[in-house]
Amino acid sequence: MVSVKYLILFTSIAIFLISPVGAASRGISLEPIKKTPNLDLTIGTYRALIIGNNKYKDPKKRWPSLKTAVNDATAVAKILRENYGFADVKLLENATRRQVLQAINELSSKVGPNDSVLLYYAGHGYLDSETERGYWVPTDAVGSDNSTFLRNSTIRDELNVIASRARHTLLISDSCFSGSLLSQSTRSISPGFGDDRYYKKVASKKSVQIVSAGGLEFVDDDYRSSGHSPFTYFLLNELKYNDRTYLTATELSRNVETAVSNNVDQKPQSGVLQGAGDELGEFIFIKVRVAVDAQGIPKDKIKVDVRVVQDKEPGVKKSTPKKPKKRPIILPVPTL
Amino acid sequence: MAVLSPGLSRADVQISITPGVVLFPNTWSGENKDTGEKFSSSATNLGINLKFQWRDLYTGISVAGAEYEFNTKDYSPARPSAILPLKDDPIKIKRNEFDLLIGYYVWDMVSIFVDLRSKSLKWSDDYEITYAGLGAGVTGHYSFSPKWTIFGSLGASSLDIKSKERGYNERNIGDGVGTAASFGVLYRLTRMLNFYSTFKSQRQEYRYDNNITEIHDINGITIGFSTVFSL
Repeated sequence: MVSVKYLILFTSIAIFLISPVGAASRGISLEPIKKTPNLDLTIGTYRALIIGNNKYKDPKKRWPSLKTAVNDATAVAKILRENYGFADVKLLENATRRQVLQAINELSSKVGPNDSVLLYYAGHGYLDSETERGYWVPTDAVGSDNSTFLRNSTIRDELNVIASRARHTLLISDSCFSGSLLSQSTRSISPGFGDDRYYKKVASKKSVQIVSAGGLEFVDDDYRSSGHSPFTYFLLNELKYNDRTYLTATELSRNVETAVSNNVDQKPQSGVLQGAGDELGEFIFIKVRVAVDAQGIPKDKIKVDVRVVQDKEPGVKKSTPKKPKKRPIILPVPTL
Repeated sequence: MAVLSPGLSRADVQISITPGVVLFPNTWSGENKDTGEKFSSSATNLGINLKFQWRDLYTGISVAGAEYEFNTKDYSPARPSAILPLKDDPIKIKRNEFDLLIGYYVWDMVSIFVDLRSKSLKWSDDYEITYAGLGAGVTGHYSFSPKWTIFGSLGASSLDIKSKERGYNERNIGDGVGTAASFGVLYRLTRMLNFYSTFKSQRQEYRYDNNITEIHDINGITIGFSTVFSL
């Protein structure tokens, strides 16, 4: 009968679809095979949204254009992609308020449970001295009309959503008054820092960290004509000259804070996003290529190989058997 | 029109439910293959669309109904009974459809589903034909921006045909097979609210025990709003 043939056909299609696909792993793990060969870290995708705002179009001329923000963002995106294995890096230059929010939403919709997500912003910041509210200033900001800015509470809300989905979330904000993003809570490096057990422990615990270029003060634009702000200059320096495979966000921020405050009148700050589920985990940067060695060894001789392995490969622990969540698409019921 | 559709939360346990109403103007046309007689009509359907999702599994119910009017100078569909009126007055047929689905996402963008479906054509309290059976299909969607998503489905079903006629026991009068394809686009207005439009085309071939074979083509465009919430 024709009807029976159709049923057999579609049952076969269903079985064909289930078998190979259902068994396939959807995540990717970066497994260093040198330096720390026995260290098992469960790692999802490294994602980053990098925003740099130079060209401000303020008709009231309240916000002058910056020299280095786009260059800062471009350099950060490049080093994350090339040296730290970030698979999903979106660079947003001269972004409007709407573009920033759209990009954050887009990033948010892609995040899976084991992912590490980094959000970087370089551009103007603003602090309302009366209300003590802080803002990011997008390129379409108009004068002192703070409804055209991005309020810190909005940024924190968006970060909260990302943090609820990701394993590790890190916000790096290089703007004036970006310290107003932080809560009072801080963290210190735990005993045992630097050994394998430490990295395993902090990698498996959730983290929601913030590093800001300054507290509640103005920050410089072009540091010694380097083409970078002082904060991002030293941030890039740390990432570039780091010669270890694993670098935690706390370690990174501590070194950057020290270097910046030793050289300019600016005090970077770091902490956690209060109430976002931080469990004292750590955002871990995994260096996949040591660009420059302090001893002058040629770059190609000290490359750390990284191979991509499936989540199910022995030696890579899965902290959770769940598959990455799907995008929140809302579709009608399909009917026949 | 408002459709409350399901959504996927990012919580570990993803449960959502979608009640709603769908309006879609359908055209229903067909042909008696033996005689070459053709029939056609159109009507606006009213329906309810519910969906419930837990992680990769989902289940849904769709109920829709409309009253179609056929001129008896043309042939009207599925009329193997002798008791039906043959006068020139238009014949009104109430067509109701019920689908109960269970589906599974084999990929993030692809799911397969099984559809237990039932359709009834009711001429009057005296005569009703039901088509019931099982179908299977595949759905897919692709978001090419955070706002825009296209989606579609393809499937087939096998149905038994029974008649309920005054004065007779319910009896099996034939069988049939149906295929359906749909294509739609969804625009996300806000995180909670979406607008969508779907074009759906169905072809059903029925063979009655009295050697009548009919082909029915039913095409319709659905437009609606959907909203999502999670439990």
